[in-house]
Amino acid sequence: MTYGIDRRTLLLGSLGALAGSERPAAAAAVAATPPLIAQRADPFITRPVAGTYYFTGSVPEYDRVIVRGAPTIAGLSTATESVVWRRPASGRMGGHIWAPELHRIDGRWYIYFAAGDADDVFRIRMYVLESALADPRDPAGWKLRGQIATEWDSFSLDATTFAHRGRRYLIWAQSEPEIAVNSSLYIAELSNPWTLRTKPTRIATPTRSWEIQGYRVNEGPAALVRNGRVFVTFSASATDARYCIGLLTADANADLLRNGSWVKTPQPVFTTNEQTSQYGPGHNSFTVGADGVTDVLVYHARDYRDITGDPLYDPNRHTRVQKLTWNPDGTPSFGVPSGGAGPL
Amino acid sequence: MSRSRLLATATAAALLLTTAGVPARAAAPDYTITVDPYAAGPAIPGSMYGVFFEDINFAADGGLYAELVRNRSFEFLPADNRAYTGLTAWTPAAQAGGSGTATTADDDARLNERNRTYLKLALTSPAGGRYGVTNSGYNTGFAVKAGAGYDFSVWARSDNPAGTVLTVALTGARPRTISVRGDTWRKYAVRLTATRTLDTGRLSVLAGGTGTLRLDMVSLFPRDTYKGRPNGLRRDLAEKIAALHPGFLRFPGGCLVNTGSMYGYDAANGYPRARAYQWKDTVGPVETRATNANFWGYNQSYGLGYFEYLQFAEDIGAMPLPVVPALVTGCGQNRATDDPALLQRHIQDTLDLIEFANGPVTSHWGGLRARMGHPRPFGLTHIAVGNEENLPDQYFANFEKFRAAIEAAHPGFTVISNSGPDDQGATFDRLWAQNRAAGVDMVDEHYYNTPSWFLQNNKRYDAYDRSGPKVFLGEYASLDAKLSNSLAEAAYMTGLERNADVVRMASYAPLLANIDNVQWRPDLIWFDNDESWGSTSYQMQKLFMTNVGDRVLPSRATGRVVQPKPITGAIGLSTWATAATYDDVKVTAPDGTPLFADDFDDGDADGWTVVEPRGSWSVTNGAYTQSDTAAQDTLVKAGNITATDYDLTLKATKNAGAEGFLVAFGVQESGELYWWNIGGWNNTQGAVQKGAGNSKEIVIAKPNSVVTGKTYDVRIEVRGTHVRLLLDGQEWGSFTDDKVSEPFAQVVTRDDRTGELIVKVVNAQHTPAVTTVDLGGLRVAPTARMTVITGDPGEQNTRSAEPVQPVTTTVGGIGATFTRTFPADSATFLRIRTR
Repeated sequence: MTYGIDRRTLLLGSLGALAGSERPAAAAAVAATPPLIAQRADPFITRPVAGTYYFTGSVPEYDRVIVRGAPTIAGLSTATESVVWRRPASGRMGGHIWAPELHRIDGRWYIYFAAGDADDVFRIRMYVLESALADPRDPAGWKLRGQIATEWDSFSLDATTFAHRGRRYLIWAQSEPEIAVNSSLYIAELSNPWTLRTKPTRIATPTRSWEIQGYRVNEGPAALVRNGRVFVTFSASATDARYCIGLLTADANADLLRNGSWVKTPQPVFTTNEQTSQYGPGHNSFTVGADGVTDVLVYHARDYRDITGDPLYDPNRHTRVQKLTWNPDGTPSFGVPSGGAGPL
Repeated sequence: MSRSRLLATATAAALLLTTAGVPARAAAPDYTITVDPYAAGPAIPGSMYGVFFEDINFAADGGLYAELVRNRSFEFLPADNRAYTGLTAWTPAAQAGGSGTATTADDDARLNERNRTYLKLALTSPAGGRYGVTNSGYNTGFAVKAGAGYDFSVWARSDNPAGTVLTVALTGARPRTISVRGDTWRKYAVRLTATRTLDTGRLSVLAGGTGTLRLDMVSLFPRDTYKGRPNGLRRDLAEKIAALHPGFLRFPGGCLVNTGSMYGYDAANGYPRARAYQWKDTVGPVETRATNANFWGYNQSYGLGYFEYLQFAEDIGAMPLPVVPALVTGCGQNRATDDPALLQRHIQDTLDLIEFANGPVTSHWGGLRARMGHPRPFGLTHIAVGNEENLPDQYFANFEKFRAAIEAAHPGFTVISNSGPDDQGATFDRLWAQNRAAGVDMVDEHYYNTPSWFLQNNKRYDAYDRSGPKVFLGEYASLDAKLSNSLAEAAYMTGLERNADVVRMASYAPLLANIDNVQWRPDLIWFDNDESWGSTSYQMQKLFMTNVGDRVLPSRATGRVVQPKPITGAIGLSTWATAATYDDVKVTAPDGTPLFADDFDDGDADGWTVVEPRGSWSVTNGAYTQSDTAAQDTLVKAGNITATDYDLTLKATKNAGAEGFLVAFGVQESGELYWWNIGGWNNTQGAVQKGAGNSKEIVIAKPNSVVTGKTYDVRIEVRGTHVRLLLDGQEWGSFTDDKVSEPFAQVVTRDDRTGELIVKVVNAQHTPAVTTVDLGGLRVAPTARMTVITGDPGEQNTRSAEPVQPVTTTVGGIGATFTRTFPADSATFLRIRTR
């Protein structure tokens, strides 16, 4: 009696069917609203650094890390894309490259990303790149710092980092041997951008019906500290129209490394919307508008519900942005996915 | 009991309404509990709840047994596990230019006849160089704590006339040296003190110079064992077990008692591995104890042996309950050893065990107990013969011989029999009939079932014969580790307590699991090398085990229950390590109306959904074929049958592989389903199983196999909750799944010492239960101490977080009659003082 189920195992069947063939043709996209960036999933946009917004995200080929930069969020739409890192032809990190994030920490740039191995593209682990150059688009600056070692070795991905009250934290998604789900969310304090100082604490596990559709997933965390609280959004279920965003909340004074400090909102906060033809919105990040104050929700979604083949190989998860507003009680109001590039 | 139907849709909607603590005074109660405080219910024995220690999941070596060195005696062999060698967990190491070879040897230079293999270091180091071996310990390595002491010991001999200097180095501690002199085995010891705390340590034993150095029993023990016992137990694990206040300790198994060879570890038998657990292998000095292959796929050192078990039981205040083999194997082996002399030897061994535990120090075995450090008797009163045998007649014949011999020598001793590996079925019925007819004192029942089974069978023991054999529920668990599982177990335990005159003992199983070496789950207590944590069921067991009470006060509950639903949903096809072809799949109403049909002549499998993305399905030659003979559970599903009466028919052909067919019906979105497992268990048994994922219980089962290449007509007739199964037109079996589910359960006991009533209420549903409790006019204090376990029913306690914990508060509003709202998904214990 063993579970032994992880996402890698679950996907092996479909992977086998795809090996050596072209990716399946996606259904024709009928975009209600043009996205900010086409075919870039798991989007991440920095806050402006010296007047520039930087963008990174997953590419449909899952083979490289790209960075764009522009003075405005809208400008990212057409900004030149720089490939800052490509996966090696063999060995570690030669598999699927997923969900990079770009963080500025102590005067250096860091890219957190997840990578499989060349001979096992779903053996996903978390890695960190570092650049001392001012411009993260410059491929010359990037050096691999290595894998983020966690307490146990398993499917792990979607690392994000934030500083709060003098401590720097990492939140990520990982499978845990005792739990028969694909991934839960964990937090730990960092001693440097690629090393955990503490043992991981699980802060969310997919338990509710909206978190276990297709796959049992909590992933894609993004942190936002506001109004005396630490909000962490995350994405749940399979990466098709059932994908959605959930919300965790902790008091800003609480010990973030305690499971009991975190409360999961019982219902998802951002889901597929038929009226706007936005399907499977998720894997978000947060930035701010040109005024430096307006919160902006960055996410991906498809324009259509039905997918031919494995959703992972449907390339039309597009990057979209919209305003994030706040309720009188200080909680975020996500609204519905409008699907476009603003207005911000 | 009044029963109002709880609609399934209401349950789903109620997920939103889990907020507890809503004042309930104004609302009509959902439930009433009426207690008769003056009636005498059954007395609850002190042994009511205990623990079952089985050496599974590395529970002993690498677990409760505090030894930190893995494969300390170099006895590991491929017979234990195909990946093992004599040097498993050891790697050769050299320092400062040292050189040599490290091999294991099984020859006349051995430490003793029962410790057959040792480490032979052929040393060729130049001056200053060192060569030897490094041990990797368990999990990520040696876990050491700054300031803590560690006792290193080793048996050694050196043929270097000048002797050999051994350097003992533990990560995080200052190295120490030992001088080995003479080419005869001698034990050397040294104390190490850690200066750092870490969980990735290594232990190195490196020798200088040249010559042949022989090492055996390389051991490192923390000084800080449970109660400071030598050769003792890991403190955090022992304390977690002790915190349960177990009334008994069943040991050492489990399947490792009733599997393998019944013969001895001796020259006459060729020192066999994979022997049934025989207690004499496990006592005396540790370096003279036998070694064995553990049924669960690893080596067991027997460092944790019968003396240590008995000492542990005494230390935690638990009644020791050993299990000895009955010379009939179970656990899939199912063989009877027909050797009267051997049977007699095992019966004598069992008598000797009682002497070891209880005999005077002047007796042979009592003397050994005294030499091992416990002159006083352990006071053994119960013994179980057999674990869960599948051959009822052969087993019971042997059991009776053991029982006669034990009772003759020790009148009043309780000899426990069993009822096989399941809660029902032919073996169960046969064994119960034999036990009843023979007037056996107590019968050990084992079952691992779905949560819904536990909610449907609260009244199981209400129907047991009060004058028949008593029940020892020696192994049970609901299949998974979520709070919802623990709540189903809790609801069921109220039924155990209510029937405490029949059910005299109960233990959740298994007890322990090393996170990196799991053969079975769920488990009660988990650990790695430096941490341990309790599952949600650990917290639930602890709540029950530390609030038992001495006598049941009869009580009744009224309120809603969940009525059985007709079996509807999708149909499914699956395989298990087998390639098979399915064709002409039809679902038809009894009047012939087609509800679903796919003959695959269109060349595709449109309408079929992959549920478990494993295996390789394709439509070829107008049929649907799964061709992967390795994949297990390759479920695909189709249709959504909403009719309550229908017939599922199909043709099935096995092409290759280990088993037969899996045909599913009543497949729910949640993953819950029924499947007819045809030619399961390596093509030996058929069954209907019910559940989800890896949590499936057996509804009916009987021997059955399928022939490769033959096409079978499979027919499943569903009529509401009744199902009839036909194979090639012949009725194979039938069942009715129409039990009412009771998510609300309660029992009330009295604690004689404190005079408190303990009102125990389990609300295993996703809605709060407004409940009026009528204590029958009893005068009670207006406040009570309340302990609640509640939370997200899908949550688990794991190494990374233990969100499910009991919360104890003092509550008011208690009286002869009072109303409380018991939260959704909760277990609540109210300790109410009487006046």
